[in-house]
Amino acid sequence: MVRILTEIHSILPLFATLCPFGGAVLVPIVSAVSKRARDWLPFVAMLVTGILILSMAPSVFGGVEYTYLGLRVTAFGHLMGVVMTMVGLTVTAYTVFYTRKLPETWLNYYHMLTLTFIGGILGMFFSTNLATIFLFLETSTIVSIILVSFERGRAFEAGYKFYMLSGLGAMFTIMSITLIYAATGTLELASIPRSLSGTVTKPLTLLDLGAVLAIVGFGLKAGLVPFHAWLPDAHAEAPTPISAILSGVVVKTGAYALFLILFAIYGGISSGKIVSILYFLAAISMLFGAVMALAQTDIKRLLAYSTVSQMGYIILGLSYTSALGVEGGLFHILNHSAFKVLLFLCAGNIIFQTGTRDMRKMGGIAKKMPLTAFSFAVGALAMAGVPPFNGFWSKLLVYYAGVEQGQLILTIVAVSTSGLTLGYMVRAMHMVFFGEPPTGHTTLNERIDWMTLPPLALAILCIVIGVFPELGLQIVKPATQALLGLILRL
Amino acid sequence: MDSIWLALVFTGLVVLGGAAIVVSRLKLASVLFTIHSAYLGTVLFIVTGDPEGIYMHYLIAAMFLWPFLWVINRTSNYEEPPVLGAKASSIIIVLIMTVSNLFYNWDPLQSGYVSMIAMGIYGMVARRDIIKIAIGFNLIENGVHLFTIHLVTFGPQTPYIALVLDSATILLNLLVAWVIVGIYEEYKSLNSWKIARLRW
Repeated sequence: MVRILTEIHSILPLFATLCPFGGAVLVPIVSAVSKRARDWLPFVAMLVTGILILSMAPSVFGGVEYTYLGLRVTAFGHLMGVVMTMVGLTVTAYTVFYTRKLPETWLNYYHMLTLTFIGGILGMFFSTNLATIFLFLETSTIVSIILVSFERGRAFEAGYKFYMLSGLGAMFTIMSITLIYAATGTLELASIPRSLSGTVTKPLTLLDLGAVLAIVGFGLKAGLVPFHAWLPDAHAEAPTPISAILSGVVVKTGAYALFLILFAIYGGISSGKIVSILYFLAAISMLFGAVMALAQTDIKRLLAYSTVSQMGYIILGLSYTSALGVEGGLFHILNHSAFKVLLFLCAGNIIFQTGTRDMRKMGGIAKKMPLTAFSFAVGALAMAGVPPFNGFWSKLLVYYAGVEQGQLILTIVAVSTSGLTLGYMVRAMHMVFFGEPPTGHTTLNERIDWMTLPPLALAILCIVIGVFPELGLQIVKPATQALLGLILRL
Repeated sequence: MDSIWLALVFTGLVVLGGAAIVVSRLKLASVLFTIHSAYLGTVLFIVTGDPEGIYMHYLIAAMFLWPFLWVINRTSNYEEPPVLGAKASSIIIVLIMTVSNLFYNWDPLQSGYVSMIAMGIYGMVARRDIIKIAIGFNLIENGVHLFTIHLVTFGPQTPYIALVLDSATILLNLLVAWVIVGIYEEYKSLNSWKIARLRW
C-alpha cells in the first residue's frame, strides 16, 4: 500500500526532546526546595514527554511527519520514542526507591545525568540528519559512561571499556558519515535516495564502504558480536535502572541509526554483500549471546548476554528487508524493551534484597518475593518466545520472514537460540527462586511499592501484547511502512 | 616547492604523534601530544582557511593537557612496561610512516591521516598504560579529522561533521581523566592488563 506523506511544522518534537533536558536543569533547583519532589522530578518529566510523544501518535499513524528546526518525527522515530517513554516511565518510577541506597550527595548528579541521557536518546530518535544523529548519540554515550561508572570501584573498569569501545565506534561512525556525505552531498537521510536517483552511475563503492563502517560503528553501539565487549561489563556494573535503559533502549539506538542509513542508501532492496554481513553478525550474536548466558552465575551479566542474543533477532528481522521481516524486527524492539527492562528491574529488586548478584548465593526466593518471582517468570518466558507472551509473536514473524526469504539455516539458528534462551532462563529461575534458601535470607521482605509495581506493570503489558498482538502491531506497522520507503515524499 | 613544504609540515605532524606514543615519560608524552594537536589545528587553518580547525584543536590540546597532567600528578609519571620497547616501537612507527607514504605515492595529506590512524591503533594495542592508550585513541581521532578534511575539502557541511567529532572528543578527554583516576584508586595501577576483574 502506498500512502502520501505530509509534514506538519509543530513545536511538539522540540518540546518532547527538551523536556528531559529541562528536567535535568530543574533538578538542583527543586532539590533546594524538596528532596522528595526532586526524586519524583524525572518521572514527571518523563510523563510530560510521554504525553507529548503520544499526542503525535494519531497523525504519525496517518502518515504525517512532525518537523521543527532540525528535528523530524518519522513513524520509525516515533516508535522508538514510544519505547523510550515506556522504559523511561517505569525506570524513573523505580528509581525513586532504588536511589535510597545511594548517598544523598550523589542524587542530584544521578537524576540530572539520567534525564540528560534520556534527552540525548530522544533527540537522536527525532533526528534524520546524520550529523545531528551523531551529536545526540554522543551526548547520550558520554553521559552513559559517567552513569556506568557511577557506583565507583569496579564500575570504573566497565566505564573505561565503554569509553574505549564507544569512542572507537564513534570514529567508525564519523568516517561512515563522511563517506556518505562525500558520495551524496547531503547529511539529510531523506535526501540521500533523491541525490542517488539523479546520478547515472551511483557512487556505490564509497557508499558500500560507508555502509560497512556504519555496521562496525553502530554495531558496537548495538552490542553485536564481535563488537560486544563493552556490553556485559557496562550492563552489569551500572546502577540497575541505568542497566535497564542501556538494555531496553540504548542498544537499539545502534540498530535504529544503522538501518536508517542502510535503507536510505539501498532503499530497502537488499545488497548482497551488506546483507550477508548482517546475516552473519545476527546469527553469531544470537548464538554467542545465548551460549555465554548459559555460563553466567551473575544475574545481571546473564541478562546482559541475553541482550546480545536478542539483538541478533532484531538485526536478523530488519536485515530480511521484507515487510514481514522488518515488522518482526521492529515488533521485537518493542517487546524486547518491555521484557528486558522488566527482567533488569526484577534483578534489581533481588539484588536490593539479597545484597548479591551471584545466583549461587540465592535460592528459594519465590516464597518471600512472589510479585518479583511472577514478573521475572513472565519476562523469562516472553524472552524465550513462549506463547502467549509478547516475545512469541515477534519471534514468530522473524521465523516466518526467514522461511519466506528461503533462509532456512538462519531460521533454524533463530529457533535453536530460543531453545537455549528457555534453557538459561529456566536455570536462572531455578537458581534464584526455587530450592533451599541459603542462610541469611530470612529477612527478605517484599512490599507492594514503586520497586515492585513497575516490573509488574511491564509483566502485565507482556501478557496483554501476547494475548492481543494487534495492539503492538498497530504501532509497529506505520514504522515498517516508513522504513521500507512505501510512503511517497511530497 | 609548495608540495615540499606541505610534506614537511605533515611529516612534522606525524612525527610528533609518533613521539607521543614512543616516549615513556607520561608528562612528556602528554605535552608532545598537546603540541601535535595544536599543530594540527594550525595546519588545518592554513590548508583549509577554516577557523573551526584551529579553535577546536587548540581546545582539544588544552582539554587533553590539563586533565591528563592532573591525572599523572595523582598517579605516576612513568609508563607501565609496554608490550614492545622504545626501540621496537620506533622501528614500527618509522615503518608505518614509510609504508603509508609509499602506498599513497608521497601524498602528504593521505599518508598523514593513514599514518596517524595506524600509529594510534598501534599505541592502543602495544601499550599497556591506559594514559598511553588514551593518547593512541586521540591520535586516531586526529587522523579521522584529517580524513574528513581530505575527503570533502570543499563540502559546505564538512566543518559541521568535524565540529561534532571534535566536541565529542573534548568531552571524552575530560571524562576519561576522571575514570582513569577512579581506576587508579581502585586497582593501584594503570596497567590495562591488570585492570581485568570483570572478565567472564
